Amino acid sequence: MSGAVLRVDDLAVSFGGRRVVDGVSFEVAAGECVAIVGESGSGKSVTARSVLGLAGDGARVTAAALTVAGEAVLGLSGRRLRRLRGGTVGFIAQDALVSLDPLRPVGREIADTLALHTDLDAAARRERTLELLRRVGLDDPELRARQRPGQLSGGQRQRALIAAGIAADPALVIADEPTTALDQPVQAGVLRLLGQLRDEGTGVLLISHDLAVVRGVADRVLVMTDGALVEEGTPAEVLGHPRHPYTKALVAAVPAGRPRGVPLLDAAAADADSGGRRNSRRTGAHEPTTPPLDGSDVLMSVSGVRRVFHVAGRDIVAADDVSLTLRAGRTLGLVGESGSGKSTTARLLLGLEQPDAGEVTLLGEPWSPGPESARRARRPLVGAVFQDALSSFDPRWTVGTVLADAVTRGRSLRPGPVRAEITALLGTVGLDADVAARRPLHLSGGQRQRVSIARALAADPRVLILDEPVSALDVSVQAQVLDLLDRLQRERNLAYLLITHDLGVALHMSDDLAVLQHGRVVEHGPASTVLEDPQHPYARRLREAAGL
Amino acid sequence: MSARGFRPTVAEALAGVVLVLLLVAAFWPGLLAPGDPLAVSRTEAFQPPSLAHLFGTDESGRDIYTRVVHGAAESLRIGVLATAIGIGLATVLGLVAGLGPRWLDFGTTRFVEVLFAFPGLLLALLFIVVTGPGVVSSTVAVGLATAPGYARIIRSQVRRTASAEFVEAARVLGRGRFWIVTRHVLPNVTAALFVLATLGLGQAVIWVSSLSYLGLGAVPPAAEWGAMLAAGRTYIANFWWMTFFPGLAIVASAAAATVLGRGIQKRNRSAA
Repeated sequence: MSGAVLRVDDLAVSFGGRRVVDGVSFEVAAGECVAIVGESGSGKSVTARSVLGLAGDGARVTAAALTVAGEAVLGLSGRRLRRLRGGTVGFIAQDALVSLDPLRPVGREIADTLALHTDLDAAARRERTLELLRRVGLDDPELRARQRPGQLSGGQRQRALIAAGIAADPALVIADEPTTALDQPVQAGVLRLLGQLRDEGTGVLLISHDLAVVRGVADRVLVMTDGALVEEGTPAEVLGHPRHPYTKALVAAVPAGRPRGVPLLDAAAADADSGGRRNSRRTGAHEPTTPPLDGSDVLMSVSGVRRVFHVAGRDIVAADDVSLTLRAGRTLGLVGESGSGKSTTARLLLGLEQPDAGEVTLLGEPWSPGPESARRARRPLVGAVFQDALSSFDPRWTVGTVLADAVTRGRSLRPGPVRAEITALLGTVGLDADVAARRPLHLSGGQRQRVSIARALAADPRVLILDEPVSALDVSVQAQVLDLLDRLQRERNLAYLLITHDLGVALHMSDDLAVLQHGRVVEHGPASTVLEDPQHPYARRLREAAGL
Repeated sequence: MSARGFRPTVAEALAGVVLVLLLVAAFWPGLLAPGDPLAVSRTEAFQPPSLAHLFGTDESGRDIYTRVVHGAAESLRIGVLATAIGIGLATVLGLVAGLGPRWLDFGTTRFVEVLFAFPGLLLALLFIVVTGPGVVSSTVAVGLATAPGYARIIRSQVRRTASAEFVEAARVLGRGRFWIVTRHVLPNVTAALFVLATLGLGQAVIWVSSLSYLGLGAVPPAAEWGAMLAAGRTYIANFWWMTFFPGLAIVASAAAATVLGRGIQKRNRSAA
């Protein structure tokens, strides 16, 4: 490969004396897709942004060589850099909603790029804009060009952003987590588009934390951690036979394709991560412990529940004739795209939302609909773990206060008298006792989610509603939390409702699966049959998108 | 909140000094000005500022420096009381609107909006027309007039807190409404209230002075800044110091309270 469109040699970036990228070297050839994978804080995004001179305020960027299409980037004037951005290098950001001006039609955004970087006249720019929108797979480009970002769906926005990124026929496209905010089927479409660009001779630098994304589209994978590249190779080599310990841990942490009940991380790795509190008991698959279906173990049952929201004169059906059963010691996975009604279903089960029709029962007794006072005494039986752990804690409370409140069932907020219980709870979720003195804001994402689980466990519940409990976490942290949840379920015979958009997580954790689309359960049954032999076309699409 | 980020700026340090001086003047005026603010001396009328009379004297030969210092107590007390009344009333309105059922929120919000439509000073004047002039009624009037503005802010704070995810988490744990309001909503709103109160104090001092200036609050010969301004107005062309120094006191105290309030607000935000 001779025509390297991007050459990076010994790149180092530091912020105020702290090195975040250290000695990174790689090349991207024309018609090649190179992916950098790593977890948050690994320096992958800073590396990509340095190529465009956008490393950020106060960043010191040095490199033996940093050239784009033969032109050295370091030391370029502001004007030359702007010519480079959008012209020679197209940049596709993670979140199209914040990257596009909400008040400007997307067609204008693309036409602007053309006006800056090409000498087409207005009519030709318009023509080219429509052509680009068609090329990124948007139907009815005339209409789309006139629409504002708020009127487009997440996938459409991301496509529009890609259209703007490739408008000036760049030699290199840098895509920073281009699919993170998207549902899996949409994700697949965007990735195909990137693959298409590559096939047409553009160099693609893809930044992602998601190994599944990388596997599908990259020609070469670079693994980055702590600002350094630790491994490089084809996806098959790196993901199939990782050599570096970090890559091994990263690959092992991916739940997709791992049978139910097998810990994602081996005991030694988990010990190192959680301060040695984890039980040393090393377990294999625990298939036999899954209790038989005899009806006596039904904890929560949802039958024919419907919930309609009236928004701006329109009716939005968030749940329609949903029937589910939660059993002791078993996990029901609830999957579906965003907007399919997963969270509404969780809120109905938690009694935070009243159903318009149908009913929810807890241990055979009516739970919802009904007045809150009728539920309050039985609230301890049902716990919840939310997606965004941080905002589920009062910002003024320390971890100790949160748990004191949970342990005493609201009678006291002082951690002192219940210190022993708090320490025990923290131990259960693999945290040290001194975490109690800290505020959730100052904890890592994984620690916050552990505290959130500890709070849910304090009242000794029988059912846990887990609403996207790991979707905000890095892969290795996600694996720790999933292993923790799995262990707790076995030890306490808990029933889980696991809501997730990630089929890999759902398959790894669930005994039963329900697929939700437009508020309806379109597929429901044992996990093995639902996705191995999906009947409903939507479930089939999900399965293909997940690449299982 | 980390204590490290609390280094004050120059303006904040200055505002702090002004406020400390004001507090000293309010509680122990004798420390700064040992004289009698009401002592009349016909022979020393209309003296310009000098070493003997730092801020000059007025038409009856009273020392303006002494009067400004002694006036601090009156102005600040009225200011603090008015702010307390305003925020107290606003907290009730804000909680009712923020937590009550929809119709109550609707009613309270409309009521506050109607009050809001009147300029604050006009509202205060209306109240005084009904109750008659005096220190007490001007204090209450300013409190009433400032309440709608606070009520709107508090309502939106209450709403935001009440719909926060941690309140939902508390409901899932089986906590009752009253518990959630006292343990989650009120403490989280209080932080914002503290800032409002500091900012409002400066505003209230100005308003109370305005009312006194119009002859509707404290009346001469009381050493109150607004009343002193009004008394000096007649002589403003010839004896500038009679209006300048009371006015300076009003501006300085209002500015100091505002600068400090903003400072606290800024730090709150960065800590959140």
